[in-house]
Amino acid sequence: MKRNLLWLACLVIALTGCRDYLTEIEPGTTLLNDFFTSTAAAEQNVTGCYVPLMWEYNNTYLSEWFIGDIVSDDALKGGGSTTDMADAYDMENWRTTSRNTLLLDFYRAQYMGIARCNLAIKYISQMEISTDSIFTPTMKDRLLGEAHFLRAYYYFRLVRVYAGVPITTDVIDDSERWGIDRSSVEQVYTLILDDLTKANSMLQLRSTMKAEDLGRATKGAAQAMLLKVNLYMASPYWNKQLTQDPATYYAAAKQWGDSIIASGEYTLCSNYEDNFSLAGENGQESVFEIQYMEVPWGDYGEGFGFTAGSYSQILMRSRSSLIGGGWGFNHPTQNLYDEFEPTDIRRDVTILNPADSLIETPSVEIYLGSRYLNNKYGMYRDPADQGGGFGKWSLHATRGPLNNRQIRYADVLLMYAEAALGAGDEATARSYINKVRTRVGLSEIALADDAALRHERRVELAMEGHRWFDLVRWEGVDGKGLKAHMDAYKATETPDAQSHMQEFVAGKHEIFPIPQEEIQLNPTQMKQNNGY
Amino acid sequence: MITSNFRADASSRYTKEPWGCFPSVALAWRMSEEEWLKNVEWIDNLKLRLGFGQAGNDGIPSGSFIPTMGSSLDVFYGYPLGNPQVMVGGAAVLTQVNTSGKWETNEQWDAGIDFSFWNGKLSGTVDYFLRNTLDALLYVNAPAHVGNLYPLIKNVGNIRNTGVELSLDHKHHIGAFHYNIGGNISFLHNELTAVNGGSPLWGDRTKTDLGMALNSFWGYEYEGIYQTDEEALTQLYTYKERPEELGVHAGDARYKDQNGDGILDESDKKCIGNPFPKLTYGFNLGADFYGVDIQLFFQGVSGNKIYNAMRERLEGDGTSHALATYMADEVWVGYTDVVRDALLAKGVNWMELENRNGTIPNPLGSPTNTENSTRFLEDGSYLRLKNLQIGYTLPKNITEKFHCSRLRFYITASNLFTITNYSGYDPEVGSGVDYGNYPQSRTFTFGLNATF
Repeated sequence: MKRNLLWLACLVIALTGCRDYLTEIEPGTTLLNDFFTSTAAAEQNVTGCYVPLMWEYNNTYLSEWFIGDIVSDDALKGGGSTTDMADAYDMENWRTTSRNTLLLDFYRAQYMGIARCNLAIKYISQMEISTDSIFTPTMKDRLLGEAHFLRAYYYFRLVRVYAGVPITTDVIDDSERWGIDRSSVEQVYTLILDDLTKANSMLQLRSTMKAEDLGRATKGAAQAMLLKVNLYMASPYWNKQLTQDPATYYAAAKQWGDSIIASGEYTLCSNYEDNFSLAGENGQESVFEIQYMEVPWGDYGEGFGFTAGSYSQILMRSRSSLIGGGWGFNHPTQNLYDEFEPTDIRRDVTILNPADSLIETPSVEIYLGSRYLNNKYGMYRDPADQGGGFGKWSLHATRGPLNNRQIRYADVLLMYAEAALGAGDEATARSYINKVRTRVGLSEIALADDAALRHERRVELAMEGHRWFDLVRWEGVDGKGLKAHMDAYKATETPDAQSHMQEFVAGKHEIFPIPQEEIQLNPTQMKQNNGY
Repeated sequence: MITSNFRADASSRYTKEPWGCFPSVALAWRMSEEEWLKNVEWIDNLKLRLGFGQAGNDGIPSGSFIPTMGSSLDVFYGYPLGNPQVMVGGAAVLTQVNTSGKWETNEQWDAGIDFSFWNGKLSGTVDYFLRNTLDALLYVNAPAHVGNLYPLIKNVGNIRNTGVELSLDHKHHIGAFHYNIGGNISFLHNELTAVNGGSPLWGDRTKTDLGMALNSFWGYEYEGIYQTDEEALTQLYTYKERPEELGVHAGDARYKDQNGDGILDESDKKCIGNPFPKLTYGFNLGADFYGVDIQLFFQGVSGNKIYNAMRERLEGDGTSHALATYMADEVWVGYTDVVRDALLAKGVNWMELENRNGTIPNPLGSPTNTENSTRFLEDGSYLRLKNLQIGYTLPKNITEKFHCSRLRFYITASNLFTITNYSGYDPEVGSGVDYGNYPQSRTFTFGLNATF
């Protein structure tokens, strides 16, 4: 009997003891259950939620402007040749297949952001107030508000590229729960609105945030996104997939616009160009930016994450060593150049038209007829750094320090004008369009209509990654449909550029395919988008 | 003879169910010891074996099923904030592990015969085996919405390997000529017999699903090159009314429309082969005669497929990889009437440029040209002389003059020749997908053995 007891004791020790004793985890990691014990830990976790926003490279470059600018009538792909970045070439020329790597990496990056937000929301909401001395209700709200804002942001980036996607708001730590079907467009937008509404009530005004927190999401950013998302939901393309009529969303959009304008938190820069300089980062006009900075470390490594800098500068700078020595992507089109009024100073802030003497290899630097360069994100305007008037950062050749301006106050004012116009308030629309025009010294318009608003939005925000998504939601600019618009644009291109373009197919090319690899990995076998 | 064993193992790696129970039992019957066989002279040994056993596998990294939070200033976690900007440390779970992971069990049934006849002149073994890997642990990608940066370990399902292994040895001499011949051959069949969660496993070019071999190649059946736009439109007839939407043209790859619906899509892909040889064999020949000895060792496989991904790159557009030299002769080139006229107008003789007999689809054409298909799938069978050794030992009466008891010169050659239809560098490709591994070298060794 004694002997049996001894055996039993050994067994019990073996059973209970070894589990803790043998559990080794990788250095630099903490068991998830032991992590959320302080404000600092919770804040770190929320900081981590921003990181996937800055990812621009994995198997290929995946910056959102490859879609927003290049697919639209604003820009041609550029690069070293037509086959350089074949994924972007296919997307620009209506040849996209579901095997497109850019679309796969972009899709995955957003979900990694979403998963980080889901985790933060789940665990931080379980933390008791006064976990430590600084974990106040305000702090808890701010952290949760940031996570809700970012989750909405990632879903928004998904829905406008792929339409309805699988929704998860929980942490998926069990393969039994891997199968999630695609949600409808309406369900995704509803979640986005819900998250943003929560974020708005939890976040703080920019003016009350500490200087060290500049760059985090604010109440103003949440309101700007509520304005934006409601406009999307009111717009012809997306509204068709929703149950409420446009008027509801225009009214909501206008109300959120009222809030942000009334807050007095933001003003237009007197100098338009300051929005695109290093010195102007997070300035008075800035509502939300993806933060980048130079660090000497960092490499392509395993993709995603290995950098604090942006690839956008090197990707977009001229291939000529005389003005930057970059990779020459994202060439503005003649069509965009011609959209600017001749006296509009924004044209030359947006488009760099290099002198012949600055072009070294015309056959490469002039891409399918376009010699223009994106002057907003090429960092040509910070001569203080180095490089003879075509500023260059210095620590890491390929990783630029320039923040990506996601929402500027000018964008907010134009969205507000659009909401007003949609709600039938021409006078308000006109006055806000004119605020944007007078800032750059242009004359006021006498009548606000769709054409005036859409023109203004194109030139004010050109080459900032908005155009394609605007064209889709408006279904072109003149009510004739997106296909008619893209066909008309095609006709303005050089024969060379036209020869690469396949036909735009209405009902297909407004959105992109769900990556085939993801359809395969999802146990529910998600349905593909029409035509792909 | 009966041996049986039972073990219960606990592993901290499996947090939900740490315990696993693994019995095994083996039976052997030496028939040649039985009364009724003892007197049969030509039988030296005859033994029947039967076995069943289970073993647990916890050879996976610790923490595979334990969620952990990583944190740091830099990669994957940190974010620049503030004015001026500084990197602020962040924290995140990079991989949501599967917390319900459990033991992988390897189960083996085995039946075999060992025999030796005529004083060892002929000996060998025959084995039939069935190996089940239950709840096999493999690295897989989770769907994107799980939010993982890295693949994770999951119990994917059951894998069954069945096979027959046969080895035979024959040794004899004819006068002073001694020789031996030996060989082994095995037939293997590999199949997924259960899938956990019901969804197949996908690799870059492979799919593993119920009833299929592990990592089977999945893709289109390649049918050549469209000679004209009309040919493409005839095959993919659903585009008849809207030909501008047809993404393929003359010069692009033509794949079989398996279901005949006039559209080429995922449903037209199928299992086009797998990387497992149906047959693996090896044999050696040895002889010696008046001091000269010779040994040859051959090995080979048959019935496996290799995906020649190297060729996919060499026949690409040349932007990220070098092009094969044969591209110049073998790319399909054809022009439309419009282009022909334009070329003529420029004084270019288009007839000299065209190559409608080309076998490589237009590398600048449709992105579907490089989709997984039988275009790059090749037979991986080969027979290789792995090793050859010829030696000569000087007669003792000569060597003893140098106080040397034995002196042997020899020459060894490895990988001397390979018989194969595979077009890549080397048919010995580990995973079945050839990304241009450095081929095995052919080596020659001259040597001298001396014993004093």
